[in-house]
Amino acid sequence: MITPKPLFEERMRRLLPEETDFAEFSKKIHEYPLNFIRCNTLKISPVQLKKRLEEKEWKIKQPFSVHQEIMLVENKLQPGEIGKAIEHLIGYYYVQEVSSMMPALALEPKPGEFVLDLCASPGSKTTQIAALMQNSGAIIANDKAVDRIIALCSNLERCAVGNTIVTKEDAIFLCQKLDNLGIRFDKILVDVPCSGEGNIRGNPKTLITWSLGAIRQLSDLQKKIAISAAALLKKGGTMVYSTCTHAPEENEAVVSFLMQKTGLKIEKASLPLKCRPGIFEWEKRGFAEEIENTCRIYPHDNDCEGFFVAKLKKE
Amino acid sequence: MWVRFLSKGKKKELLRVLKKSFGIEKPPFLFFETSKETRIFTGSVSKDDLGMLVKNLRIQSMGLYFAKKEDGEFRLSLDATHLLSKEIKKNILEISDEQKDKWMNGENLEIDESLKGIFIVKNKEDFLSSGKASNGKLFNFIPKERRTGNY
Ligand SMILES: C[S@@+](CC[C@H](N)C(=O)[O-])C[C@H]1O[C@@H](n2cnc3c(N)ncnc32)[C@H](O)[C@@H]1O
Repeated sequence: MITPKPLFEERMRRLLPEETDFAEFSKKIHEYPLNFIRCNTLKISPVQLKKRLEEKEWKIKQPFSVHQEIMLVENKLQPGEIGKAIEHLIGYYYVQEVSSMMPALALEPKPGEFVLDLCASPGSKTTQIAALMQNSGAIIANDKAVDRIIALCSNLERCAVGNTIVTKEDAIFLCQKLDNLGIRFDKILVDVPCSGEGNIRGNPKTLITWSLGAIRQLSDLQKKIAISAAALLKKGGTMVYSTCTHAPEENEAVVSFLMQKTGLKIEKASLPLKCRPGIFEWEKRGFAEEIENTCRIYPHDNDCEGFFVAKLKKE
Repeated sequence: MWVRFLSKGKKKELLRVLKKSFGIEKPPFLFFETSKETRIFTGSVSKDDLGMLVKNLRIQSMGLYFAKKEDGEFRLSLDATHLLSKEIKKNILEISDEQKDKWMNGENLEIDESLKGIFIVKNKEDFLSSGKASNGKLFNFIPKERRTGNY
């Protein structure tokens, strides 16, 4: 078990001031994450997939009645079994942690819309968005890392996503290019690179690489990416900003900055996981009141990974 | 990425072969070619808008791998057989569970010598890409990363 750095613990204690709350969080982050999958409705219905997996003696739970595509595999599987299963190879499901499914649900993409997924690899959310759009409309899915784009393309093929254009650009540069071309989007997902504090259960090494310096640097980059993206939103359009981290510098601070600079308004997303409201203040810096309508997802609230989701509207 | 939308003539030919070989009636996709394969765009963007994006952005990939042309026939990709599962009516080769394990492992299958040409492979309700039948063998084109043995 990797021991968290003292500064990480101190900051998490400030976010979770009640001792029992913090203790539950600290315990949960050392537990192996649950096996969530998402039914790829472009290929198979949740009813059919559940039946098939149950025939293989997998125990499948659908925790949310309105999101039948979200499935929890409850029984213990052999290492790699979930990825090796034929249903996975032929693209009937995507292995995705439940909290990572929340940004696309907050975005609510509709068939026929034009969507930008700015930091898209390896495509968990792009494939989810394409399924919600029933493979219609169009998605521009971008990332700047070559190796990760290869994974993105292969996931898009496996899931039979046919409405997507994959680009390889720096997010800020791509936004400038799209702006110059006069292109505007109905929906934009900005799932930025982050310090990954929410992913400790799946990737405990985050505790070793964690540093405040990295958080500050990332916060600067996230602000630049978010501001560039906001310029591309149509009137009435929706942008979702998300991270898999708890650090307020990467969450509320970025969203507050974005609201100030662009006039985007926060809207409360209706999500099936327990959300705690965004915080108003961090290290003596206050944030806008509406920030409470952003969503902090904690591992010990939902037995999931940690996430942050903010839904913004251009009026 | 090098992209060329199918000319009217080429599209007509593709649709004719799809109908003749597999009974597929006018799939509602935008077809285009890259240097390697025929691909489709399932979305609702015009050819002109897509062309403008292709010209101006550093595109790595677009749409979905649909088929490769071979000796005047089209060898449908695994994922194309899924998207068109309800439309495919002809030249379906049903395989057993045992054959399915071999097929998904990337192996060629022993089949009846009389079968010739491209067949869509199916096991129970699953469409499993297409293969080329020749001389008593069904040749396998499942990409490496989708084979059971390689995952
Ligand atoms: C949190 S991950 C995205 C996960 C993805 N949305 C998904 O659901 O599968 C962040 C991504 O941002 C990419 N990235 C980092 N800096 C970038 C930049 N300046 N421009 C574009 N992409 C960037 C990384 O390569 C990484 O794939």
